[in-house]
Parts: sequence; structure tokens; C-alpha cells
Amino acid sequence: MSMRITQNMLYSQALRDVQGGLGRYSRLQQEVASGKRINRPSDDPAGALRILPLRSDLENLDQLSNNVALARENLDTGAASLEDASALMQRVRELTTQASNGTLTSIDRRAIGAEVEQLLGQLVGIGNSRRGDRYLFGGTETGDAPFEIVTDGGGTRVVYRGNRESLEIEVAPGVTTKLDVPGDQIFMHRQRGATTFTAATGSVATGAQPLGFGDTGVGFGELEVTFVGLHSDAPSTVTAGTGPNNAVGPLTYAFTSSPDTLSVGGGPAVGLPATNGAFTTADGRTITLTVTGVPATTSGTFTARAGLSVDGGATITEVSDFTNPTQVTNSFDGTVLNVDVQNLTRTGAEHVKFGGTFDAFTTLVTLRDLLQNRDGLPDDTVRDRIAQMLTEVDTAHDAVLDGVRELGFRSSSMDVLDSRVQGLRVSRAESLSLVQDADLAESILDLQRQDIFYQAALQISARVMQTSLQGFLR
Amino acid sequence: MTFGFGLGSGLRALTAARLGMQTAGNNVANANTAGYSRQRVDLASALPFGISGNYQIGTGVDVRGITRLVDEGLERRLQLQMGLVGAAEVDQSRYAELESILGEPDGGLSNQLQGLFGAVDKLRTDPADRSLRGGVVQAGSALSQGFRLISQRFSQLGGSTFDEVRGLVRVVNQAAKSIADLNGQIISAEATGADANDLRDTRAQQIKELGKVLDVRGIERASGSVDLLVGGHLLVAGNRPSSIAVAKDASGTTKVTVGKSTTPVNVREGRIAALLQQESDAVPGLTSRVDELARNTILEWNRLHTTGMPASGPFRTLTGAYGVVDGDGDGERGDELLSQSGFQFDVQQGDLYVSVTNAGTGAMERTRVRIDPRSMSLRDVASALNAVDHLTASVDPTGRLRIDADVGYGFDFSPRLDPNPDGAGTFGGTQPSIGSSSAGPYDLSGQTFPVSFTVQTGSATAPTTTTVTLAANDFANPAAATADELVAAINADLGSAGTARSVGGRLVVQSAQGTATSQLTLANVGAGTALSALGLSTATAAGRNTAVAVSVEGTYTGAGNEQYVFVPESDGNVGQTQDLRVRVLDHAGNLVTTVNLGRGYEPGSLVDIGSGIKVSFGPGSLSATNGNVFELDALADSDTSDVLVATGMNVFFLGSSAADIAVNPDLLANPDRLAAAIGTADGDAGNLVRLTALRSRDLGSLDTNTIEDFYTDIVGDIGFEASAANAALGAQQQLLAQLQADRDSISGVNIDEEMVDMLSFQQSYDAAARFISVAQQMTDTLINLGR
Repeated sequence: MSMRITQNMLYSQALRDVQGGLGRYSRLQQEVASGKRINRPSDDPAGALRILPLRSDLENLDQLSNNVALARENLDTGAASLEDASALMQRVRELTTQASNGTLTSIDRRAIGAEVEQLLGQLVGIGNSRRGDRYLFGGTETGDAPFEIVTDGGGTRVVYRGNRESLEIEVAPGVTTKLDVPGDQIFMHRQRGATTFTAATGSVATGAQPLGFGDTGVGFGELEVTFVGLHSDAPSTVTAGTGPNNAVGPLTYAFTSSPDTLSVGGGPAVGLPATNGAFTTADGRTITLTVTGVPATTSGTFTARAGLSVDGGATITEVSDFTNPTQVTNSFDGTVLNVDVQNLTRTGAEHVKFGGTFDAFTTLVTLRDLLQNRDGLPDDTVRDRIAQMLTEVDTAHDAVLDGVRELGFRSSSMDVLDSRVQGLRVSRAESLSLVQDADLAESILDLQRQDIFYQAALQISARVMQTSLQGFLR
Repeated sequence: MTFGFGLGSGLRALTAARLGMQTAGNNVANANTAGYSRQRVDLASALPFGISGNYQIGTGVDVRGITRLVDEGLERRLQLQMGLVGAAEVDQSRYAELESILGEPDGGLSNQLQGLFGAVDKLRTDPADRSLRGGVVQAGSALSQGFRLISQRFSQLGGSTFDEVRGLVRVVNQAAKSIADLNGQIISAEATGADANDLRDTRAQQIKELGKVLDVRGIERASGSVDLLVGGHLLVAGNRPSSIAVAKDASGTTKVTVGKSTTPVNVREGRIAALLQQESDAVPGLTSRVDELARNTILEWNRLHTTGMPASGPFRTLTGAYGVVDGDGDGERGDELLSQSGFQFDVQQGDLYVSVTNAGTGAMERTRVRIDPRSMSLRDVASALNAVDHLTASVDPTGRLRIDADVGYGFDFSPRLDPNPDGAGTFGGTQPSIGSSSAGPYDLSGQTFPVSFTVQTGSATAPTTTTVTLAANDFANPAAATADELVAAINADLGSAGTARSVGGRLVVQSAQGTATSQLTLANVGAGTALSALGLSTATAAGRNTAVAVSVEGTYTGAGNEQYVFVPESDGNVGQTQDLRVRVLDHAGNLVTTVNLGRGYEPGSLVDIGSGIKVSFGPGSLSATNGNVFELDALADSDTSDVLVATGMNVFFLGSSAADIAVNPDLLANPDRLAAAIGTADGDAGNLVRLTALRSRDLGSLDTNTIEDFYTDIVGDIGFEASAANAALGAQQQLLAQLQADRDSISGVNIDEEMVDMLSFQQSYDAAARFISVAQQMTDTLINLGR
């Protein structure tokens, strides 16, 4: 038997139909209005689960994209500063070439020296470049100027106040880049080579492999060798006198009796006793001794102690054992020089050149000092040294150029990263849109279809509800 | 044949037709009355009339009664279904509300979490920027607010359950009273034997409505009354109504009781059941997950923040945000064990490293403070910190830990590397030192206590000799004498002549005097062999004019806390002696690497020892004979005890749940307290790097999820629940509609049908009237016959 239908059933059915239609209608309307398919998690819980991480990713990528731009800006600013430094070094090279010309007088050189002095100030200024409030070349010490010119008894030096850390920021997922190059790597870059002595005293640089390592001094230096007295192995009757001394190291001695004489280093015998007597060695060195008693005929070796100083005599390292190398420290900058003293025989001044240690600043400082001849060197030494400086200028210039290249390379690699980040952004945004956004065409079509259904439901309901037997019983 | 020609049956037919008409009219009138069941006149032919015993003649129609067309089984199913719909409606609206509280996916906490981590990323690009620093603090504030808002609205939702149930209880009690009244009316109406159809319809409708609110069981009595039971308790008995009551129990849970009974009823269906379930299960479950998220965010973030370095540099003074409670009830705070101090976050057994920095020289000294919450009180922590040079620590009257540094000093808890780890100068320092050749503990069981040795300090020309005596009771176990015990025992005797130290677990004795002329010599007294048992050389150690400057750079990248110990393999000058090797050992004494500082090494240049650490050594001489040694703490976590988090020392977030999370007001007032760095450089972003890493770290306490993923899961779960609740409501409503259609099909009024009935009764009436008129004519005819 078929189901009995009542008017109420028709009404409530019609009401449900209309309500349902209206509900879908309103949902589609929200979809079209907001442009989003998922307006609350229950619209599509699985979709909502994907939306949150995707949005988080997308925001992250936005930040990365900002970071890439920031990194490029920073790196380009750094590179621009270094290009200035490079131009400056180019000018220094021109001046050096000019100054090494033999026809120049010391006054001409002094004028060039004044320009070099200016350039030094400019170079320090470049080293202290800032972007906003941040110093570019001080590592993570961004608040204080990284380079400072210090002038003291040891001469002029530029000291680095920064550190060797770099601010690293993320520029692509899992990829970080350093925003800068710590300044000491650019301006104070060194490739230490052999340390050379002028061999005036017989002392030589230590270290065979690789040459000069272990020394930390930079540029040109001066090792002063002085006589500081006799070692305790000297015969008790012999003490150091006052007078000229240029002999240091082990010395042979020979006493003879009747007549009482003493010969030192195979030199002529001198009658005894002697007060402040000058003894000359066979190789022409002099030592002043006071000899009080007269021992029996005897011979042996005693040592004249040497005093070594690399800071102009501010601190003196005494040497009495001439078999082992000696380390001499510069009390102004703490740098050390290792000296092989085995063949050290006479006092004097060794001109020391620390190979490959000319960074941009020492190059300029040394050049300036040479041009102004602060140490009072002979003219040909000055010219010779200035000529030597040419390779050092080039080396320092190369370090700056390396910095330019490094920053330029990083900056250009930002282009690649940028397109990668943008690519990721687009694909994430697409995924997000795919999950969250309404397909407008489809939604609008649906909306229209729903409209038709709704209208139909209304019409049919109206029709059905009007029909009743009553209408026909007239 | 009787006289009258069946006038009686005609009358009956008239009555029947009239009643039929009235019933149809009543049906049409009630076509739209909720719960109305159509009624039908039951007609039967009247008892026949026997004539002459041979045949019978009908006497017309009898109205047996007027009955309702009702399927009782269907009614009960309908009542049940209404309960299910009621519950589904509550569920649906609750989840819709929860969804709107979270406000995802286009707003809400996900934005604020992203905002906080995003602000950290921004600050990373320029750690010295004050406005970006403020941005991190503001983002933290926004996140806290987000958490608090959610928590507040959740608890309001939970609290509103009680009010909603109370409203429903009023409805139930009203219905119970009215049903009891109806019962009374039905009993008296049906006492005469008639059917009280309309009253029954009304009652059935009210019981169904009640079913929407809670599950009631109806039992029909012979008298026609229906008793209602709620969870086994009588709500309505005949014409006597009882009532239900709602109250909150001790734990704040809403309970429903019936009548005078105090035992809560287990409501299984209907709106009340759904509300109670939401209150006891869904909302608290969600609240606790959000709380868990907030708690772990606070904990992890604070762990990193408390061990970072603020932009303002090391602290000069710091007071904890949280005081201890008087856990042992003795009226004093700070003397109870840390485990009973009522901290929001537990203190673990672990180490706290505090670094004291000299503001002038930048030299730092790091001290390890061992924390054991089961044997230490906050006062013990304070006194351990107080023992650190240049620090004053105490527990203030409110139970808060307070640390102050001496003027010219600062302290911090950052895990940065000590840039000058050889502060004591026991590694090629100017003051001569003699260190043990191995790390403790040392076996002194072969010694006859007291055992002595002499320490000769001063210079060769002016020596000073001090005798050190070790007693058996200096050691907990002489067979395993620790370096710390030896240090205490030796320092007690050594006085101002020198100092004993424990460096990397090795015992080191050092003279108080420096320079090349000073000397240090150790010698056993008598037949003692203490020095060899301690691994100390008896050779004379000479001082130096210049110390080997050790400096460290880099950031430690290892996973756990490590202590590196550096010991030379031979004697010689840095940068000069052929093959001057230095061993780098880890805390367990295993070789990490060996570095050659001899010829070929440029003093002052950096040597990479791995794990991100680079060390440089200045010129000078080292001695393996004298046991030169220095230690370098490399920390991944400088507070493994969480004591900083628990006591709130420069925490970022205050609170411990979503309800009370807030940014430390100190930071809001002064964003320079934000610990963005690990080291002291302005551009140091070390801690920001750690905070960024937290974003992608799977936390065990969050079911191995990242913070954001855990939140996404919450959102997803609510989404699924809400979508399921929507679907369930749709399905239940569909079922209800079906059942209602079924009921309508049986009990509903079809107007067409009634029209037909009316026509038919009208015709019956016409015919019956006609019949009476014919019968009357026949009677007239008969009467006229007799005239």
C-alpha cells in the first residue's frame, strides 16, 4: 500500500527543500564574496590542516624574500665601499711608482707622503663605512668603529676593534649568507712569507719550513743588537768595561804570563792589568774589558751577552745561550720576531722585512714613513724600499679586490636565491590558493544553478500547496 | 413488523453522520496542530432486531467511539529521535562556537605564532635595531593576548553550560508539572470510559518535547496516566510532579539530580546530555591542549631567553619573577626543597652556569652551580651563587631570588664561549704552576695519613717554603680523592703563598708570584709519596715574563655541554719549537684533536678544534713537565636545571598556561632586556638563531610536534569535530523528518480525505433525513388508513 500523504508532509517537505536550498545558497554566496572555499576549519578540515603550514611557509618565504633584498643591499653597499678602496689603492700604486723615480728629491717625496697620509685617513674611513647605524666591516661588533689609527712609540698602526664573526641571515630555506666580510680579512689580509734580515749582525731569521712562520711582526722592522755585558762563564778577573763594544756571542780568550797579556777572539794581545781596555778580535770586532787579576796561562771561551730589541730599545731580550733561537717581542704591538742567533757576532741594526705582511694599512703607513723618511734612512735605502713596496701595494690591492669579488659573488648569488625564493613563493601561494580559494567560475555557476533550484522549489511548493480538493468542489 | 418503520435507525444514522461530520471538522481544524492525531468515528451496525424468530432486521448504525490513529512504537521512536536531534543541535552549535573562538584559518593564534617567529626573523637581520627588538616584544604580547582570549572564551563557554542547563531544567520542570496535570485530567476524563483523545495528544506532544531535552522513559498505567522516569528516578507519578535540579559539584562540574535524591542522574540523551558531555569532555580537552601548547611555548621560549644575553649586556642586578611558597609551612620562605617550592615549572637536577664579567676589561669567569631539587632549597642556590666572586645572591622576603654584581662587574647565564679561558694562567702563564698529569679522582689509599709535602715559592734567591698536610678526613674516600677536596685541603695550608685549583678536573698548584725569576717546587716530606700519587712533578717550574695568551672565538655547535681540556705533550715555545703539540681532551678524557703549536704555527692565528670553536695561542713557552693545562667550557645549554625558568630570571613570558601567559612587563618597559644575543657584540644574533631553530624543533612534550604543528592539529581536530557535528545534525534531522513523515502518514490530517469524509457524511445525513421523511410519510399513510 502506498504511503498516505498529508498536507503537513507537503508543507514540511517544501519548507525543508526551501531551507536546504537557502543554506547552500548562503554558503555559496559566502564563498563567492570572500573568494575562499574554506572560511572555517569545518568547511574542509583536511584542507584547513594544510592551510596553516602553507600560510606559515608563505610568510616565511616573504621574510626570506625581504632578507634576500636586504642581503643584496648590504653586500652591494659593502662592495661599493671596497670599490672605492680599490680606486684608492690604484692611486697609491701610481704614487709609489712616481716616488721610486730616482730623480725625486726628499722634498718631492715628502709631498707625496702627505698625500699618502691623506689616503690612509680615507682608507680608514672606508673601513669604517656604515649602512644605517651599522658598521659594515666590524664583524658582529656593529656599534663601534672597527678601525682606529693608533700612534705611539711604536709608530703609527691601525688596529682592528671588530671581531671575526659575521651576521648570518637566512636567504632561502636552509641557506644562510653572511651579510658582510669582517674588515680584518680585507684590509688586514696577510699571506705571510719569509722574513728577511739584512745580515749586518750575523743573526738570521729562523724557521726553514715554511720560512718566517712563527713571526707575527708586520712590514719593515728593525732588530737592534746591543752588548749588555758578560755572561757568568767569563773568567772571574774579567768584567765588562765602559767603552765601545760591538762584539757579542762566544769569544775565545788566551792569557799569557810574563808578560801578562790577554788576547780575545784571536786578536792582538793587550798588556795586563787593563782598565777599560779595548780588545780587538781577529775579525775586527771590539770589546771593552776591565781585567784586574792576572791568572796563569790559560785559554777558553766566554760569552758576551747580546741584547735584542725590536721596539727601539723599549724592551730588551738578553741572549746568553747562542745555540737556541730567541723570541723577541715588540712591547708596543705584541708582535714577535724569532731570531736565529747561532751566528750572531756583532752589535748593530738589522733591517727586517716581514714577508707578505703588508696589509692595506701597513702598506700606507710604511709608505708614508718611507716617503717622509722618519727613520732617517739613507736615500738609496729609501728608494730601494719604496720600490719594494710596489709589490706590497699590489698584494694589498689584490686583497681588497678579493673582497670586492667575494661580496659581488655573494650579491650575484642573491639573484639565483631570489628567483628560487620567488619560485617557492609562487608554488606555495598556488598550493594555498588551490586549497583555500574558491574556484570563482565554478562557485558562480553553482550559485546560479542553486538560484534556479531555489526558484523551482519555491514555485513547485506554491503550486502544490494551492492544490486541494476544496478548489474543485464548487 | 413494528410501528414506526425504522425511525430509530434513521435517528442513529443522523447522529452517526453528524458525529462523523464533527470529527472531520475537528480534524480539519487541527490539521496544523503539533502532535495532533487524526480521529475517526468508529461505526458499527447496531444490534439487529429479531422478528418472529425467523429473520432479523438491522436497526441502523452504532457509534462505537471516536479513536485516535496513533502508532505508539513510532511515537516512542520519534521521542528518542528528538533527543538525538537535540543533542546534535547542541554539539553543532558548540563546535561552531569553538571554531569561531579559534578564528582560523584566517586569523587567530596561527597568525600570532607566525608573528612572533616572524618578528624574530626580522630582528635577526639587524639585532641592534631597537624598534625591531620592540617588535619581538610586541609580537610576544599579541601572542599572549591571543592565548588569553581563547582561554577566557573557552572558560566562558564552559561556564555557560551551567546556565544553559539551568534554563533547560526550568523547561523540564514546567513540562513535568503540565504532564502531571494532564495525567489528572485524563484519569478523570477516562474514568467514565471515554477516550480523552485530545488530552492524550497534548500529553504525547509534551513528552516528545521533553525528549528533546533529556531522556525520559514513559510507563502508561491502567488508569490512563503516564509515569515518567529520568535515570531510574520518578519525574512524574500520576498527577504528582517531581522536579529536577541542577548544581555544581566540588570540582565545578554541572550535575543534575531528580527530586530529593542527591545522586546525580546519568543523562544519556537530549540537549542536557550533550551540554554535560561538552562540559566534561570536549571543552576541557580542548582547553587543556591549548594550555599545554601555551605552557610548552612559555617553557621552551624562556629556556632560551633566560640563557641569552640582553642588548644591555650582562646584568648588574636581577630579581626573579616568582617567589617560592612556604612549602614546609614553617613561616619562612626559601628554606624548603626546590621540589616543594611551588614553582610553576619544575626544577630539574642539572647545572647552572653563571658568568661574571669585568665591565672594564671584559674578562669573564664562569662558574658551574650544581642544582639538585631534591636536596637543595632556593637559599642553597642563593648561597652557591653568593660564593661566586663578585656576586651577591639572596632570597628576599617574598621568596624571590635576587642576584647583584659588585660595582664594575656584570653577570649573565649565556652559553657563549669564554674568549679568554685561561684566566688563572695555568697554561704558560706568568705565575709558575705545577699541574697533575691526569684528571682526578686520585687514589691516596696507599698513603699513611697525615701525609705532607712542601711547596716552595718565591725566587731562587728568596724562597718561601710552606708545608701542606693532607689528613684522611679531608676526603670522603681517600681511594678516590677528588680534585675539589684536594683544592680545599691544600688551600687551607697554602695561605697567600699560592693557590690550588681544579682545572679540567686536574689538580694544579700555582705560586702567587709571577715573572721569570719566580719559581715553584714541590717536594714530598719524609717517606711520603703523595706527589706521585697526585701526578704532580717535583721538577722546579719557572715563571715567565710574558704569558701565552689563549683566546677563543666562534660559537659552539655541539649538542651537549662539553668541557675541553688542553694539555701540552711536550715543553717548548709557541711558534718556535719543532712539534710542540697540544692535546685537546673532552670531559671524559677522550682525545678530541691534537694541534701543533710548534714551528710553523704563527702565534695568534686561529686553530679550529671542531664544533665551531677556534682557539689562538700567543707567543710564549709551554710545559708538559709542569702539567700546564686550561679548561674551556663549551655549552649548548647553560641551565640544564631550568632553575632560571622556574624562578623567572629575565624570562620572556610570565605565566604557565593559556589563561595567564603574558610578556614580562620588564621587557615591555625596556626592550633592551630582550636577550637577542649570546655574546656581547651589538650585532650578535646568537640567541635569535636559537629562537628561530625552536620554530622547527619537534618537542617531545608536544607529542613530537613543533609549536605551530601542534596548534594546527588542534585546529584540524576542531574542524573535523565541527564538520562531523554538522553532518550528524543533518543526518539526525533527516531521520527525524522521515519519522515525522511516517507519523504524519498515520496520524496526520489529509484535508482532501476529510473533504471526502465530509461529503460522504453529508450524503449519509441527507439520505438518513430522507429516510426519516419517507418513514414519516409511511406512518402518515398508515394513520390515514384508519380514518
